Amino acid sequence: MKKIIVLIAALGLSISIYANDNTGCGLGSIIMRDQSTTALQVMAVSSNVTGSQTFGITTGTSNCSKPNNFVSNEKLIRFVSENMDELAMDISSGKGETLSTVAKLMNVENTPEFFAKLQANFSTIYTSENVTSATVIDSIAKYM
Amino acid sequence: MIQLLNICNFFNRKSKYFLLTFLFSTLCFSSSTTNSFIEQTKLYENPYWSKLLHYTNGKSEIDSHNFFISKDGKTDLKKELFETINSLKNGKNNVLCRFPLRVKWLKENIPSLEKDIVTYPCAQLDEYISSIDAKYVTMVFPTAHINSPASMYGHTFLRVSSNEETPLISNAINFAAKTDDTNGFIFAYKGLFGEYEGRYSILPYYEKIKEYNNLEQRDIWEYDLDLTQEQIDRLVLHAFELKDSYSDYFFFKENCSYNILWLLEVARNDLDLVSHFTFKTVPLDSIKILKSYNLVKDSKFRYSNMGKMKNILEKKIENKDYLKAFINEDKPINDSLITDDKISYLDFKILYLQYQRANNQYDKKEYLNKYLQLLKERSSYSKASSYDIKTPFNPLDSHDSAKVSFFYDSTDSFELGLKPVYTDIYDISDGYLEGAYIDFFDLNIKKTKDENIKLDKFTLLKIKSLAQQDMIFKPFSWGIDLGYEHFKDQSDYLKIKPETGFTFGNEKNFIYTMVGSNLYYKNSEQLYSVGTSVGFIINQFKDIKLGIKYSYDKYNRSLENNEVEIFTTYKIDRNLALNIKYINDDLYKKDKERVKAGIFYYF
Repeated sequence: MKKIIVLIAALGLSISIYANDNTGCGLGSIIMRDQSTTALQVMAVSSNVTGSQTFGITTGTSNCSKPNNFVSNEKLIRFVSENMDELAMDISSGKGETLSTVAKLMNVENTPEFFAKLQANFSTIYTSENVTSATVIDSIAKYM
Repeated sequence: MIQLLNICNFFNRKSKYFLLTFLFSTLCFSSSTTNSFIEQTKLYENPYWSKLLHYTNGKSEIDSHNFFISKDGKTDLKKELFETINSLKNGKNNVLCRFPLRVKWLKENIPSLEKDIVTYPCAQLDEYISSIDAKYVTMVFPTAHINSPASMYGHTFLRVSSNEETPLISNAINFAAKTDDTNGFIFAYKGLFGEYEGRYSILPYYEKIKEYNNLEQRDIWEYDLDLTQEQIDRLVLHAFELKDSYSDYFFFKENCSYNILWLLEVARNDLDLVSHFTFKTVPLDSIKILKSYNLVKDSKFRYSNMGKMKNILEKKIENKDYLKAFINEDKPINDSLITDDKISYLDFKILYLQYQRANNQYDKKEYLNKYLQLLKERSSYSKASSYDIKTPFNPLDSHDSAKVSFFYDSTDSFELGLKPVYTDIYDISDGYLEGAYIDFFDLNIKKTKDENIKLDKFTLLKIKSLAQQDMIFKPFSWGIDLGYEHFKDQSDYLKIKPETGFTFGNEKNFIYTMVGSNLYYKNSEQLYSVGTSVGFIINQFKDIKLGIKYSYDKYNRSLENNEVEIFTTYKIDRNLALNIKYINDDLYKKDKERVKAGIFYYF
C-alpha cells in the first residue's frame, strides 16, 4: 500500500528543480532545468517545492560593477544585471516589458523613439558575449 | 551651615529614596495595571491574537520554536501574550524588531503598554519596510502546463508592488517546501506526509516570471486585490515576522496556497479564509474564496513564451515552408519571404533558442554565440514585435473543484459519483486546461434494478495528458489510471492502466491516439490486455463539449474488447452541467448498448 501511495504521489506531486546558472552581471544567466532530475521532470513540473530560499528584495544591492550613469539607481543596476538576456531580446525586437521597465527606471518619457534608437544601435549596446551590465547601462544612457 | 548641609544631604538622600520608591512603585503599579488590564479584557482570547500566531483548533500551525516567545507558545496563547509583554518591558528576545505587527497590535490594545517598552532602533526592519514600499497587492496564479498535469493544481503567491507600471521589479511573497532532495519518490512521500519544512520567502517578481513564463511555459493570471494601505502595511509586517520560521508542509492541505491565505487574514481582520479548507487546498479555490469577499478588483493575463511561440506559429507566419530548416539547420532566411514573415521567423527562433537553452540543449558559449547573432539580425528590421494573444477564459469563473454526479443508465440502474478534485475529460474546460485531466479519490456507486447498492468504481488517481503536437513541438501524450473497478458488470478488480500516444490539433479541438495496457488484479486471478484507442475532443461551440472514442483491447484468456463511447456535455451554469453518454461495449454480457444521462454539480 505504501508503495502505491508513493507512486501516486510521485505522479501527482508538483515539484520543481531548476538551476540558476547565474554568473552575474553578464549574458547567459537564464534559468535552466537541472539535469540530474530529468527523468522526473516530465511528471513533476511546478514550484510548490523549491531548493532556494531567500528574503531577497528587489532593491537589494547588486554585486556588479557600477555604471558611470545612474550610479545611485540601485533598482536599475540590479534589474539590468539580472535580466541581461531578456533586455537584449527586447531591444533587438523594439518592444517588451523588460525594456519598458528599464525606460521607466531611467525616467524616459518618449519611449517609442527611445526604443527605436536602441533597436537601431543594438550592436553598439550588446557588443559581445562578454558585455557587462554596467557597460550596457552606459551605452543605453547615450540614446536617452 | 553644616547643619543645613546635612539637612540638604539628608533631604537629598531622602528625595533620592523617595524618587526611587516612587519610580519603583509606578513600575510595579503600571505592570500590574497592564497585567490586570489583560486579565480583565482577556486580550489573549482576542481572535486577532490567535491569527497573528497562526492558531487553528487551539494550536499554532507554525512548527518552529523561534516563532514564539514562550516555550509553550505553540499551544498557549495566554502564556505567549504575557511572555511577549514581559520581553518587551525587559528588552529581551528582540521582540520589538522581530515581531513588529504583534508589538503594534499590543500597543493599540493595551493603552499603558507604550511607555513601558524598552525601545531601540530596528535597522533591518526599517530597511525592509522602505525597500518593499508596498502600495499594491496582487494574488498571482501560474496555471497548469499541458505536458504536466501534475502541475495542474497550480500554485499561488502574492506580489507586493510600489508602482503599478513596473510590476517586474515588485516583490513576490512565496511559500514553499524547502528541500535539497533530488529523488522524486522521496519528494512525493515527504511532501504528502509533512516531512518538509515550508517556509515563506521574498524574491523579485521577475525571477518568478522567468521560472513560470520562460522555463515552465505556464501562463500566469494576476488578481489585483482591494486592500487599504493599512491592511497592506500589516501584511508586509507579518511577512517579516514569518521570515525565519517554518511550518510542516502538506501537499494536499497545508500547502503554498493555504499558507499564503494566512497573510491575507492577518492583513484584514474580518477575513475568514483558512478555516474553509479542511481536507484539500486547491490553489484555484483559494482565489475564488477571495472573490466572495469582493477582494478581487482586477484580473490580468500574462502569457508564457510558449504562448508567444504558438501565436507566431499559428497566427503570424504566412509561409511556414522554410521555418523548420531555418530553426534546425541554421540556414539563412529565405529571401523570397515577405518582411513580416522574416521578422516572425527570427522572433520565433530567438524564443526557441531560449527554450532550448533552458532545457540544456546548448552550453552557454554556444547559446550566447547564436543568441547574439540572431538578435543582431532581428535588430536590423526596425519594426517592433507585438503579440495579439486572446485572453482566455478567466479561471476565477471556472467550475469549482469538487464534483457530485448523478446518472440514470438505460439498463435501469442509477449511478452516484463523488470526486473531491479536479477535472476530467467530460467536464467543460472553461478556465481549466483542455487536454490535461487529473482526478483523485473518485468514488462511484451503482444501484441496479435487481441488486443492492454497491461500489462500481473507485479511482485512486487518474491522470491524462493529451498534449497537442505541432510542426515544431512534439510532446508525448500519456495517462495513468489506478483504482478499484467492477469490471464490465462481472467481477471486482484492482486496476492499473498506463498508456501513451500522440495528440494533434489545437487547444479547442484535437484528435488523439494512444497505446496502452489494462492490468486487472484479483487474489489469484489476473486480466491483462494490450490495446489501442483513438478519439476526438471538440469544443467548437460555446458551452458544449463533444467527445468520441473507440478502443480495442486484446486480453489474455482469449478475450477481446471493442468499445465505443460518444458523449456530450452541456454547461447550464458555472457549477452545473448535463452529460449524456452512449456506450457500445462487446464485453458486457447483456445490454451491450447503453445510454447514460445525468448531471454534474460542482462545489
